[in-house]
Amino acid sequence: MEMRPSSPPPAAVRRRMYELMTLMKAADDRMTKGITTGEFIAVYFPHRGQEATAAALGAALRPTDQLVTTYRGVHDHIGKGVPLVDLFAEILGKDIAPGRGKAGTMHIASPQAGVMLSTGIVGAGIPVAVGLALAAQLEKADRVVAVTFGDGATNTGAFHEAANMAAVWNLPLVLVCQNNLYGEKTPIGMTMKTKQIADRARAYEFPGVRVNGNDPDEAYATLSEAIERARAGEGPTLVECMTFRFRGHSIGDDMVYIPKEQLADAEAKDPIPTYRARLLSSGVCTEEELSSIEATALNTVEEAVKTVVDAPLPSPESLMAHVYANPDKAPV
Amino acid sequence: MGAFPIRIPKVSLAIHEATLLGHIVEEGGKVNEGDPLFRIETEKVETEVASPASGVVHWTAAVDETYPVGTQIGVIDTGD
Repeated sequence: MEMRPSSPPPAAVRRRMYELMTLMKAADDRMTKGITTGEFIAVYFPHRGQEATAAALGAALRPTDQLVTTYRGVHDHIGKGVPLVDLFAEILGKDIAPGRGKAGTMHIASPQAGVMLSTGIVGAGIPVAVGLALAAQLEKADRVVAVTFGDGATNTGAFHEAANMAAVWNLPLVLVCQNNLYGEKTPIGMTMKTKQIADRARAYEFPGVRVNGNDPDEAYATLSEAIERARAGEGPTLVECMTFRFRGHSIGDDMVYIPKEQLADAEAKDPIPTYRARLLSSGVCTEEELSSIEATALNTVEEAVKTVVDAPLPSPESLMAHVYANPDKAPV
Repeated sequence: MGAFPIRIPKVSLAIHEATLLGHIVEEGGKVNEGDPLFRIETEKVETEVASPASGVVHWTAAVDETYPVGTQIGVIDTGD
């Protein structure tokens, strides 16, 4: 299926995507700095470099649509509208978090914002998204479910079983693969013969499209079309968004497995300054507006960090609460 | 005067403790946020830790000892 943008998205959408991208970058920079300097003690999986796809997806989904993401999901959460305080509080294990600080980075959920689940197991979120999409279909609701995952997830049985059922039931699902070329520390060429992950959709008879996931305009056009196909009852789409991760798999990963030239080349094409230059040259934003967006992102992140740092940890007495639906039957 | 704690960072996913190898900024010295502040060793890996804040450094923990992640080993007087 050919789904190529004919004209750029409306100016308001493009500005919104830049706002989201700068906020995602500021959040990633701040978490990384805080953890590596000892200011925060936390586990974190950086998304720096992958902002454009998440911003496009966030801008294309409606607030009532739902999203399932992964442990490397803070950019996706921000795109979908999860408040920064909720995100940082969960990552730092604070009691004010939606999961009372017990979910951790890997399992952040914010149903109010439509983020139903984040998973720590590669590929595990895709069948859950199928269930959410089936629920939307059975309820005759007009909401769409999007699920994001990495390239490695498409090698799991969970991906293939979920893709098959989504196709068979014609579900309102958009499968968004953020292909950053490495499954944790393994280059994709060592784990799959498939040249384009998008082609995997062909096995299940639904459209698969590869886009430049570092170009928000291109990603937005294709994701919007896939979302509206799903909403119109025309079934699932797989969108493969090509991108790159500038930081380690997790904090402390020294990235020795990534050739220096490959990283330097990706950084030279950093989607944020690239998009900034395009918005400026096409007259969508002035220099003052862009600078203001960037300053606002930094201030928003710093204010959220302050709120979270000042918030209490869960009390030791509360540790077993909210863990089991029926604590009397919990294993001891 | 603002006091920003200096703590043993969780520099990778699976570590629980680290050995304080040495101070890069000596007692009473000034440091800028982001500049190298001290060195630690975890699982035979040496890491230079950047300063979380700017100010005057005071050390409170001995070098060549091993500490759990999160242990306060000093303080930065931030002057604000």
